[in-house]
Amino acid sequence: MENKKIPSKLRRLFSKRGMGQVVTVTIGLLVLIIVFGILNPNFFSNRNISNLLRQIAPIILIGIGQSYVLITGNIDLSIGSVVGMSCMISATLMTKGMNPWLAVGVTYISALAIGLLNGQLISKAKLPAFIATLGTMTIARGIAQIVNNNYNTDSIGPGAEGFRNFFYYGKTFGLYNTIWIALALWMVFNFLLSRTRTGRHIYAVGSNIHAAHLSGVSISSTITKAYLVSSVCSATVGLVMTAISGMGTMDAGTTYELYAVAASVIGGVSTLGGQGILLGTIIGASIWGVLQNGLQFAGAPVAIRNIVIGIIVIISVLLDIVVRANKNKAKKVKVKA
Amino acid sequence: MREEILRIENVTRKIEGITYLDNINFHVFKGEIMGLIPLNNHGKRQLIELISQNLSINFGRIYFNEELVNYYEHSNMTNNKVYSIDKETKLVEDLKVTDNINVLNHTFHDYIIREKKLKTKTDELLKQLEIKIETYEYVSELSLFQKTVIELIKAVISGAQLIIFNELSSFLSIEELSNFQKLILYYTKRGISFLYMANHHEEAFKICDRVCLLENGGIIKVIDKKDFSDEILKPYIISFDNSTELNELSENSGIFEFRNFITENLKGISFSVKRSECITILDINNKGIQDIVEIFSGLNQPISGDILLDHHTIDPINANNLLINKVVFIPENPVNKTLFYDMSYLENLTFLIDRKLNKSIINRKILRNIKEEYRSFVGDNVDVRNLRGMDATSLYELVYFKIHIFSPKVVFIMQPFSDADMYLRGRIIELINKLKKKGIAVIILAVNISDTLTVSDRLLVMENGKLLRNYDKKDLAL
Repeated sequence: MENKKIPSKLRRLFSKRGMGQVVTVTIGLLVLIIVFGILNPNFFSNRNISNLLRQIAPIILIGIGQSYVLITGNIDLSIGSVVGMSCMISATLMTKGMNPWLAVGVTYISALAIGLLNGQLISKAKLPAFIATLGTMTIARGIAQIVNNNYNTDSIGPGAEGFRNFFYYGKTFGLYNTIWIALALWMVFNFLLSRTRTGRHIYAVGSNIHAAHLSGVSISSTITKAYLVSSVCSATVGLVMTAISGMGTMDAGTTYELYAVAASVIGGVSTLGGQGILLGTIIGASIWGVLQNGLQFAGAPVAIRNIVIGIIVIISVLLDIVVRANKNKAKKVKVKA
Repeated sequence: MREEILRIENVTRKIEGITYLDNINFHVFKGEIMGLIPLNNHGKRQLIELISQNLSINFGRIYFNEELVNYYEHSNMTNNKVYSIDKETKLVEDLKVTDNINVLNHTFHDYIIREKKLKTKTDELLKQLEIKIETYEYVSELSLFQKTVIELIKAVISGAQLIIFNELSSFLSIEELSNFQKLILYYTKRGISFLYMANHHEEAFKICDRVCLLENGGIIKVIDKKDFSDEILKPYIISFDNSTELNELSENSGIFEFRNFITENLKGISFSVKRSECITILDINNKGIQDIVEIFSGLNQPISGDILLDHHTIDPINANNLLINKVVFIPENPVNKTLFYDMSYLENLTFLIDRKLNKSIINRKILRNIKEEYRSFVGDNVDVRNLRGMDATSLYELVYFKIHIFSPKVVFIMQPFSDADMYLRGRIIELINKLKKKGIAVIILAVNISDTLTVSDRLLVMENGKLLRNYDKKDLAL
C-alpha cells in the first residue's frame, strides 16, 4: 500500500541497485560541505567552488573507468600509469611538432591498446585482474618513461594553446571545460551502462559469470569493453594533465588507480562485482575532492588527508557489506510474506 | 506420426577411460514429458551435458529435432536448443526479471533497452501464466520457486525446445512443485518437450508421459504411462528397511526444545525432541524452514523464543557456540560444504575431536584407536591421504561419521536426501540410524518428504511458518 503512494518513476529510481548507498553518501557529502563551510567561509567562494569542481573532474573520469571494471568483478590497477603514459605520449608528440589534435588521437589509440591488452589477458588468458593490470601498470609506466628517453618533456608550446584551453583552462557557460568533459563522458558512459545491452552484460558478468555465459553473453568482449572504457577515461585524464602543466611528466597519475577505487567504492560500486551506478561515482569523487580541499583549507597536512580518505574508503566498504546483509534479511521477509 | 525432439541411438560416451553412458537408447516426442529416474547418479550429469551440447561420443547417433546432430565419427560441439533447470539458478541475480527474461537472451537484438516496453511484454506473459511476480524486481529478491518459474519462461523465450529439470523436488516444496507442474503442462500443450529427472518414481509418475530408468549409465527400462505402478518398479528399486528397534525413547534421556520461537517467518513454533529420536519438520510451502537453517548457520537471530537443551537455554549466536553446546548442523548437499578435500580422511574424521576432548593437541594413540575403530565402518578409506577422487557414498559416510565421532546431543540435517541416488539414499538412512543409535537426537528439515519418513519417529508439518500437525510413527505407518 505504501509503495503505491510513491510515484512510480521515483520508486523505480530508488529501487535501482546501489541507490541506497548513493543517497547515504550524498547526505555525507552535504554534511562535509556544511562542516567545511562553517569552518572556513571561503570554502563557498565562487573561485573555490569552481576550482574544486575542476579538481574533482579527473577523479570522476578515472572513477567511471574503475567503476566499469569493478562492476564486471575485476579491478584496473593500470589506470594511474595509463594517465602518465597518455600525458607523456601526447606531450612528446606535441613537442615534436605534431598537430595537438592528431597527438590526442594517437594518445587515445595507445591507451586503448593497453585497455585491449588488459581485457584479453584477463578474459582470454584467464590471468587474475590484479596480476594482469599490475603488469600493464608497470608496462604503461615504462612507456611513459621511455617515450622521451627518461626525461619529462619540454613545454608543449604556444601552438597547443587551443588544446590546453579545451582540456583545462577554457570555460564554457561559466564552467571550466574539464568539468564539461567529465560530465559529457559521464553521460555517455552512464547511458551505455544503464540503458544498453552492453551495460546489462557488464552487470551480468560481474554478478554471475556462469549465468552470463549460458545466456549467450560474450565474457571476453564484455570484460574487454569495460577495460577499454577505463583506458579512454584514463587517457582523457592524461590529456588534462598535459594541458594543466603544458608539458609531459613521467610520474603523472601516480596512485590515481587508488583514487579511482576510492571514488567508486565510496559511491557504492561493489568490489564484488555486479552492483553500482555511475551517479555514485560522481558523489564518491566529490567526497574525495571536498575532503582534500576542505582539509587543506582547515590546514590539515597531506598525511592527515590521506588517513581520513583511507578511513572513509574502509567505512564505505563496511557500509556495502552491512547494506548487503540487511538487504538479504529484508529480502527474506519480503519473499516469504 | 509424432514428431521427435530428441532421439539418442546406441550412444556410448567414455571420458578418460570411464564409461559414463553405456549404449543409451531413448527418444522424446514433441510436447512430451519424459521422466528419467536415476537409480544411481553415474552418467546422469554426462547425459545432461550431452543432450545440451554435441560433445564427442564413442558410439551411436543423436538426432535433435529430427536432424542428425552428433554421431560417433563427428561431433561438432554445437549447442542444441536445450535448457537445463536445477537448484543452481542460471539467472543473474543483480539484474531485474525483465532483463533476465528478455535481454540476457540469444534472441534479443535491440541495443538500446526500452524498459517500459520490456516490462509490458513481460507483464503480459506472466498474466497469461497467472503468475504474480513484480517484473521490475531484482532476481535476488525472488524466492527459489519464483526464480525457477522465471528460468522456465526464459528457457521458452530463448527458443529451447527441450527443457531438462533436475531434481525439482529437492528445492521446491510440495505446494510449489504442484504449481510448477501446472506450468510444465501448459508448455507441453505449446509443443515444448521436457526431460524430467526425479529420484522418486511417485513424483515422476504424477506428471510424466513415459519414464525411463537409468542405472550405471544405461537405460534399463522405459515405462509407458499406462503401466505406471509401484509393482512394475519393484525389481529395480530397493525398499529401505527401517530399524524400528532402536534405543527406547525415554523422558529422562534429555531433551532439546524450541519454545515459542519467532523469526521473520516462523510464527511461534514449539517442539521438542528426545535423545535417539528422529523428527522431520516438513515445510509444505517452504516459508519457514530457511530461518531455522540461518539461525543454525549464525546468519539470523530469533525475534523471541528460546532454544533449550537439557532444560538450559542456549544461544545460537554462531556455529562455534552451537558446537560448544553439542548441537551440530548438517547443511544440504554437505559434502562440499563440510569436508576439506586436501586433508586426509582421518584428519577430516577427527576434525571436531579437539572440541570433544577439549584438547588442542590430540595424542597419536587416540588417533590410532579412532582409525582402527572406524576402519570397521569405512574400510580402507580411513587411510586415504586426500578426498579427491572419492565416490559420493564414501564422502557422505565421512560427513556422518565425523558427527558420529563428535557425538553431539542434537543434529539438524537439512534435506539429507537431496540429489542422492537410490543407493546413496539407502546408505544415508543407515547413517542417520547410526546417529540415533548413539543416542543423538536428529531433526530433519525438509521441503519434501522423500525418504525422511523411513527414519523419522515423528513428522511435524509446517505451513506458513506455523507447525500445524504432528504425526507419530504409528500414524506414519498407516
